[in-house]
Amino acid sequence: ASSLAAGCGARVAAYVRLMPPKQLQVQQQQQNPQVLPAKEANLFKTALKFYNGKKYKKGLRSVDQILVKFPKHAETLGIKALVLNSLDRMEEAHVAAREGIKSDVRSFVCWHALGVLHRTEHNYPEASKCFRTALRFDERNDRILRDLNLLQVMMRDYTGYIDTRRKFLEQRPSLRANWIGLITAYHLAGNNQVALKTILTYEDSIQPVAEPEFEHGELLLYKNLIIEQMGDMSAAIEDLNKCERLVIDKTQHQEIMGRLTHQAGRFEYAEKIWRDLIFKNSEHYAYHQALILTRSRIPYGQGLPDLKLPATPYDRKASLPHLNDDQVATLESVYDDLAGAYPRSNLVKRVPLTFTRGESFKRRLLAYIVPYLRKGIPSLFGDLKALYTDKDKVAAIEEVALACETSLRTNRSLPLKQDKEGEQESPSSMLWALFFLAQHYDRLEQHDKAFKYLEEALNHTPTVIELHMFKARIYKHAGNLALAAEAFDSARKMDFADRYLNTKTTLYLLRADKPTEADRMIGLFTKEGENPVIYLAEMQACRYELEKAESFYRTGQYGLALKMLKAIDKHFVDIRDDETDFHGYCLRRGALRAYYRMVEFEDDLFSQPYYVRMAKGFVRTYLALHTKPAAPKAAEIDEYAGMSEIERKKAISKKKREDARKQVPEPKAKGKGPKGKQLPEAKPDPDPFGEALATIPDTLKEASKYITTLKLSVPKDVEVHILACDLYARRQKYLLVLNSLRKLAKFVSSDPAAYRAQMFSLHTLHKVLEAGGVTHPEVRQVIESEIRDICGGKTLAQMHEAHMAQGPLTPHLRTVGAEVSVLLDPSCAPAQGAGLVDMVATANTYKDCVSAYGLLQHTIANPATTDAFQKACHKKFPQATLFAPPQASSSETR
Amino acid sequence: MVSIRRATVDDLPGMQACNLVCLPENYQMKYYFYHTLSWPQLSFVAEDYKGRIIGYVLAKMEEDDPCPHGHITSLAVLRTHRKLGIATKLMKQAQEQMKDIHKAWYVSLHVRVGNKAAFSLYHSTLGYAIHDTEDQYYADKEDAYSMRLTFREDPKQAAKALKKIAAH
Repeated sequence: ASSLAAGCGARVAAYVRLMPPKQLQVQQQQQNPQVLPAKEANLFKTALKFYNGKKYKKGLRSVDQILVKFPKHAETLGIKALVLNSLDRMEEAHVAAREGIKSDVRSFVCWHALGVLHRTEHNYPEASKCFRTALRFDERNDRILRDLNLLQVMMRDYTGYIDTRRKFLEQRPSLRANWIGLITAYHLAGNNQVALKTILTYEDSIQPVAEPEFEHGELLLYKNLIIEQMGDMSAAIEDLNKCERLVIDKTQHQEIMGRLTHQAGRFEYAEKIWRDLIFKNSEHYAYHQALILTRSRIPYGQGLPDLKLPATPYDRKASLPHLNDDQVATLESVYDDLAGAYPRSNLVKRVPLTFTRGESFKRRLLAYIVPYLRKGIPSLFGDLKALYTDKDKVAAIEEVALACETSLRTNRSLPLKQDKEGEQESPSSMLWALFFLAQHYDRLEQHDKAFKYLEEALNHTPTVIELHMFKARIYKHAGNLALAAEAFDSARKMDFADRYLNTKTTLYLLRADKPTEADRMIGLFTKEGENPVIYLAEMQACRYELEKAESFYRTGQYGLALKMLKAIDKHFVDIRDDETDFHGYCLRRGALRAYYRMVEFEDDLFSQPYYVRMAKGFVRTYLALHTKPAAPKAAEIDEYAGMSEIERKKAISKKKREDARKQVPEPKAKGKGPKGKQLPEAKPDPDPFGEALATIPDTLKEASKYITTLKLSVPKDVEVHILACDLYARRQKYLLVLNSLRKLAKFVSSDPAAYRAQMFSLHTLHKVLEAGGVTHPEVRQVIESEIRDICGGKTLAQMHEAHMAQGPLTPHLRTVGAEVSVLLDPSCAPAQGAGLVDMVATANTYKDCVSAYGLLQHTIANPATTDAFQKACHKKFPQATLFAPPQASSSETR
Repeated sequence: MVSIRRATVDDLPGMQACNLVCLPENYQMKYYFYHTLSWPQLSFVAEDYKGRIIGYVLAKMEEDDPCPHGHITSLAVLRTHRKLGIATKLMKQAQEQMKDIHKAWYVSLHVRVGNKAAFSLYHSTLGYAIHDTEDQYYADKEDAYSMRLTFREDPKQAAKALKKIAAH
């Protein structure tokens, strides 16, 4: 099963007849002076038929036939525009629509057609204007009304949307979907009161529902959501009690009840509900969180953020509030009981590890890990990783794991008390204990120890794929990405049929900046005869495209990086557009809480992690291109020298077409998606290397578009404001720099990167002011007073000194400190360079030294110091290729 | 620590990413949306302690059939999280919801004839039986077993359904 099923075709894609032909004729005779004679009128009908039947080429021929004789016939021009739109000939379509409007400014067909063109081009505001104009000339045209209402909700023009939905309801109040349409319109607009009132009116208008039924049950829960959002908890609980019988989705009903009664402080009642839910699904962590809180009589919301509804009731990532000894003791007995009742549940055993401490923790931990070691479950470490934020627990884990190791080595047993004396473990338990310890030490950045355990495990059983996968991980953590990719590839070779191994190898290759090999690798699992890059773009494989873009960025291939980023950007445009299919569909379908959440999701689409990473990638790449603009290809300049401008343009575009053909191999067979869905044939890429993207005239302006989006979608993201400072300074938008500095202010004390951005921006602003770069007196005043405000009367040097005195002197802060010191006073470079060499001793991972290395190479630029730094790093992080002496690195990375 | 729960709209990007890592049959975002917006109770995810999706079952109903039944569109668990019984737990949750909410008669799925691990999960662990073999079901021409797990065989209901089928 695959492509969107027929039932989902909510989009009224096939053009239904614009209006009955009779009406059309009457209207033509009355209003339009250009009445078509019978022959052409028939031809017009045929054209419409072709268009509605998606036979666009035939339709085009028919309209052209009419237009030969009646070139100014507006309606025909309108249909021509629609036909051309469907044929993706947008420019001609616009010409036709505009001609049509010129001939008859009151032609609703032409206005509607123009609106459709704008919609195709995603210009929703213009499209909506056109549809509204069209409706002025044909008020009750259902088709246009439908198009308009969809645009309005897409644009979140809720005032207009409510208005249109009301018209639908007035026209056909017997249709349930029309009621739902108006209800959701009010709710989406935030008008809960009227939304609720409309539900009540609707309920009065229908026969009372006697038996539980899916759609109605969903409406009842949706109503409850609205009541809850209106803020009256007891009304919401009362309503929930009332509707219980008719709701089919009991799980959801109970989840809401459990949360609301918890919020209302009815701990005992809520606790019982959460226990019931654990009975249904003992592996739902939020249920356990809720049980712990209600059992411990901790009020709702304490230490837990309030989530948007109707997402999961308790936040997965939130840590539990501190529990006192009594609470812990109570919970321990609760969970001991549960363990008896749910012997197969994993969480019932795992959850106590989150709240127990000391000896009890150790005892439970041992009991927990023994079955993992015996069964050889490779995810044991991943399962316990969440505990590594607690130092005491890390120590306890190490103690228990080492005890297991010792016991296995000395008498081939695990140190469990209830085990019978003299019982022997199978040899594989030792293997998994070694594997666990390797992962444990890797997590603590003790890569040597990790390697040692791993090697022993590999000697023990060389055929376990997970061990090879993990070897790649240690290499990665230790800073040798080429060896990491090799190690993962050797894991892959042990099971060619596993796509996971294939994908991960690809990602490792991209981290090692080997994009060509990566494409070849991932191509092993995409369809035969099809370009994997195109297939993966079709399937919206953001992760792969992002990793590739980031690799191109690292290696300075900015055009290619931009190309990948554009591909991801397009996925998000598509995902936003997918919405069009669902508005109408969901109103009929009735899963209203999911629908509501979908709209919220789309509203927040640009805060999706992949989007944020992509948009930041754009900004960084454009900034890099601003620093070092892409040169037009040298070959091109020579080749076309001596040609006239027009010849030159022609020759270049011809060459680009040829290049594109070379780049994209013709697919041998038409690729098939899942369930035989035909994928479109690959068109030759007019810009295979992204040169056009990289040579746009104003890269900074492009970057600003993304920064503007990010500032709205993820306002709490420090990195966005750091990038914004840099970007706005380059664009000489100093007031915007100040604005970003204000956003950064609260991060400066704890985040060296934010501090660095602040100091660099202040330094730039100072220099600009000194050089008289701001002439407008009021702007100058604002900048000066803002700087005074931030600096608190200190000079930058004094500020810097104070900040560094605050500490803590992490490698990151020390690096930033050196960079800022040199910025403020270049003469201190030698001393700062020496300081960085000393810093190496305090570094935890090779990553701590990367930016310092760059600083030494490019800014401080003292070869002796750089050399000393590199040697110190190489000694401390021998695996890290970045610091390897030249000859060694070439043999290692191959 | 893995948590298994119903999938919401917010999980869809994670499910798509998980699918792309694990399986050769991939889908566009819209298809995931279609499932959740039509049957919000049927799809489940397994997430790790950071909220990353490490497994999912994407499920739907075939409603036009005289015997409405569930269908498993896709099931995946990351290799790193195998042997924990996650796939079994995901499947059981989805099956329960099909029965409870949509009164499904049975649930169907397709599995590659050559995928022994998956076949054993469906057949031995979950009790599915082979209903049919579909030639060259997959894009790479591999055959599929069409498998079914029956939920109820109420004779009265069965007679009714048979009548309905005859009437069609």
